[in-house]
Amino acid sequence: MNRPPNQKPSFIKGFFNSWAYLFPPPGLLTHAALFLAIGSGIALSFVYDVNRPFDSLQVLALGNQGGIFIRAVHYWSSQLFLVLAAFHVIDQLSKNGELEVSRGLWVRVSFIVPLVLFLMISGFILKGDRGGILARQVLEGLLGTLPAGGDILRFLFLGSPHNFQLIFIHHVATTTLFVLIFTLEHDGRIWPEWRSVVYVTACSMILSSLRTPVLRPEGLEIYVKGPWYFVGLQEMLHWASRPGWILVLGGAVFFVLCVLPLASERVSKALKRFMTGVFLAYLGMSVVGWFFRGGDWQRVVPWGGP
Amino acid sequence: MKRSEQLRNLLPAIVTAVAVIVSLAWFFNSPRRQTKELPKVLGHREGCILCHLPMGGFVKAHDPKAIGCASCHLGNPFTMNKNGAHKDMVLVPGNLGDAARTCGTSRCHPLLCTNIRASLMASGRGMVSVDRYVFGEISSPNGRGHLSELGDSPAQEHLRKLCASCHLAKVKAKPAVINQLSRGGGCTACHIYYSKGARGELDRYHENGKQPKIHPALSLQVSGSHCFGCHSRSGRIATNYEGWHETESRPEEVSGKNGYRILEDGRVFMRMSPDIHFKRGMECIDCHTWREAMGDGKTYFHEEDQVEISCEDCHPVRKPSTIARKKLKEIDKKIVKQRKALAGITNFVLTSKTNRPLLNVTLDGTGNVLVMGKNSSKTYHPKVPPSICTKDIYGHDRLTCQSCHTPWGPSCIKCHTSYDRTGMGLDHIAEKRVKGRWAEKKGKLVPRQPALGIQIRAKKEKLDTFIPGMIFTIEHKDYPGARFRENSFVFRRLYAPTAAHTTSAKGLACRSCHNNTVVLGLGEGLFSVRKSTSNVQEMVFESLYPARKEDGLAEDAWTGFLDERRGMVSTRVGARPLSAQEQRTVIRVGVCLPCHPADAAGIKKIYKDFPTALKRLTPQCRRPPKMTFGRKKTAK
Repeated sequence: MNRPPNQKPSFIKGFFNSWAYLFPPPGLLTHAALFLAIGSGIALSFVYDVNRPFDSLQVLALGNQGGIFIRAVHYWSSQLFLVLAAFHVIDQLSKNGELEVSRGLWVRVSFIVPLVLFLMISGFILKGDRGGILARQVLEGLLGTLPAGGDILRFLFLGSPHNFQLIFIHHVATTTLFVLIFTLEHDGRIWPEWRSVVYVTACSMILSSLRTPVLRPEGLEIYVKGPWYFVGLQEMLHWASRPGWILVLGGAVFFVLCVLPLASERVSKALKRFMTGVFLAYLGMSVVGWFFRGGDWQRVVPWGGP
Repeated sequence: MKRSEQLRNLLPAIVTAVAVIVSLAWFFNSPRRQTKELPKVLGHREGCILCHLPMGGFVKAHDPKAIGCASCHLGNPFTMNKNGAHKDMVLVPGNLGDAARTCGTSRCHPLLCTNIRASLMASGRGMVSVDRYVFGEISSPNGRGHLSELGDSPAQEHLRKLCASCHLAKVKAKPAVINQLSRGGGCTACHIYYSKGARGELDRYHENGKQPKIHPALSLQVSGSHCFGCHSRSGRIATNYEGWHETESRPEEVSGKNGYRILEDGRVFMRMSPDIHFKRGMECIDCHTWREAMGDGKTYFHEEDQVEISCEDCHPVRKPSTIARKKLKEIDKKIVKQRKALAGITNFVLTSKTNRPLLNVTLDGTGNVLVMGKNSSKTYHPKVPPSICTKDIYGHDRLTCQSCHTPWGPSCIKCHTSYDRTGMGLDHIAEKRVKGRWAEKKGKLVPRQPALGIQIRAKKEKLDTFIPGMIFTIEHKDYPGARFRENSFVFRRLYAPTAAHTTSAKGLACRSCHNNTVVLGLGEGLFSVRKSTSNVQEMVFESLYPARKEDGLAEDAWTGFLDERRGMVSTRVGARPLSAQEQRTVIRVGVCLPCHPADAAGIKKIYKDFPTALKRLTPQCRRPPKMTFGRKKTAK
């Protein structure tokens, strides 16, 4: 391809220039966050019981302050990983980073996006509380809308109903392994950069000490929202009369991401605009879903009280 | 590679390893390993139990061993950190603002929680609408107001300051024993019961902060004292029921005297005849259903619309309809199961008005109605109405039972309400003292037989009991806001329908109505007969109270003698005092009653077909044929 790299729009350029003054590059921070999430996840796996997921987390939450903290670090490092990964993707796309790696590697790297999303939602489901169970139902329902192969996909990703075994395996092994391999491959290094580790660890620990992730038993709240990164999806599901189209849209974005290096400069710009539009629309719907929706999908205002 | 670089590269691995080792060490040295033995409630464990149990006083359904603590009190049950556990906790779970997350969750009482929001006791809809109607802010007393959503108009300000404390949606901020001053608290307003032990524990908690070990019971044992706080005001049905009439006396004036009662708020009541149902030991909930108290999900304007029971349900003139236990709705089945007194009932009498089951009313083996005391388990055998009630007497087909069985009701005949911009008043909604005060200058409060007037029930005219709802003046000239200047001084003469709850076992005598100026709506006074200038005997009315300058009627009257008062005359749409013709009809019978009392032998032949009897007048019946009705006369 003869497209020149490093053509950033001014706003994004300004943003990442400021970033560079303060922090290590988003890619390195993402790498560090992944490692921290994996490390804290390993610690959690000692006490997590896949046969009684919610109960094992309750025992952890009630029985051990250290365990609570490790779980909080796992939670916050994962959230940081997701946010930093998003920044990294925007950063790379804005400077035509897709042209700087081989096409095969780009496709493999693109696979990280859906894998990370699955990693995140599977972690949320594995809590086994009301929120987790509802998220699983939504995902099962969404996969079930696929005209062909929906049931197979549902089984492959989520396993038997009410059983967390396969989701757990995917979360701690399959998905993590692929994300790790693709990350290490395109990053060109195994161990994360030390400064990034310090930043991410400090940030996760501060957030963990400020707010621990909550468990939600059945019945204690009027309504339960999904994780913040899937609230936009919930909002879309409410609007869509045919939820299958949401999967088609998601698939289209992923396909566009994969084929970006093949596109001409003009087409690439158009495709990136399309992806930006989808991203901003999703962001908007996430804001609406998070702040302006109450129980039964009623419109509320954040300052309106419970 | 330099050694420092090698160290840097190893740093993440070292950090991760240290984190893993620390967390594992932390976990295995946990001081709270006993949490594994914590029992599960509703599918989850609760840390609250470790600190707060043992705790007694609960009924089985609300025992923490069955539902935990967080089901009602929220907070975070998954932490042993006190502050974390108590974060977002609800101290009084029944408050309606929280009820959807506490009492009303899908697995507890969702229907009741939904219903109660629309109910009158939560919204005060009728109270709001009538008040705004009286102030001239809306054109009908049937409005959709809500005490929790009041605006800033004079009437709504008036409600905030004087009336809004009496509604279920009022927030109860602290746990407190139910007494005469209790207000609000949503579900807990009625369903909380402090045993002696629980009361003592609460007192100790207030004194020295010692954590109570006996919880108040949350149960169906709703007693009259739960209702008393709010219902001893306005229509005062709670005090009427027990046979107490409010006076203007001060506590020190009656202290030690028999026949008086001083309430916790300092009001003084004097002894009157109690309701026959109270005498027999019946409580409020022995008559009133859960649907009336908590609503049936429908929106009603006024209490008489929401009330579904009627006297005829327990005192039927013909065999009432029943429903078998197995056909009851789930919620009714649940209630019957919870109440020991109702355990043996297999068929339940249906209300004649709404065709819904009365869960403590059944038929005995002979087909007679049997009423069970819901709390007391006492058995009652309600009397079958005598023939005078069941067989039509001429002209009485529009009368309700209470028209003849209400010997008295509280009547406040005068009031002046004014707004004082400079004073301070308690806003019951905002729970704080704010600028602006409403001052009430009350007139005489007398116990007397209610007036009879016309109510529209099921699109039919019914003769029912009325008391002075509002004979008063409102003045708010200095109320802030130019837009409220209109109607800043109004005079109203409105009577309100009443179910006085002073039911007498025996019906009132005929003359109680036919010779009673109060019942006719004229106020207290005397009828007299005099000869007119054309030598015809005519009946005139002389009132006891002076006439008001605003409308020329006596202070306590609803209408004038032989007047046709219409328009804004009542707090209900369509309600009105007796017309001139109706007054004539009533008085015409009253003229005969002194010589032909209703309990005289063979008297039925006169009153059973009165028009025919009038055609058979003897010469001794000198007054009626020549008598005309003279002009009204009111004391000056």
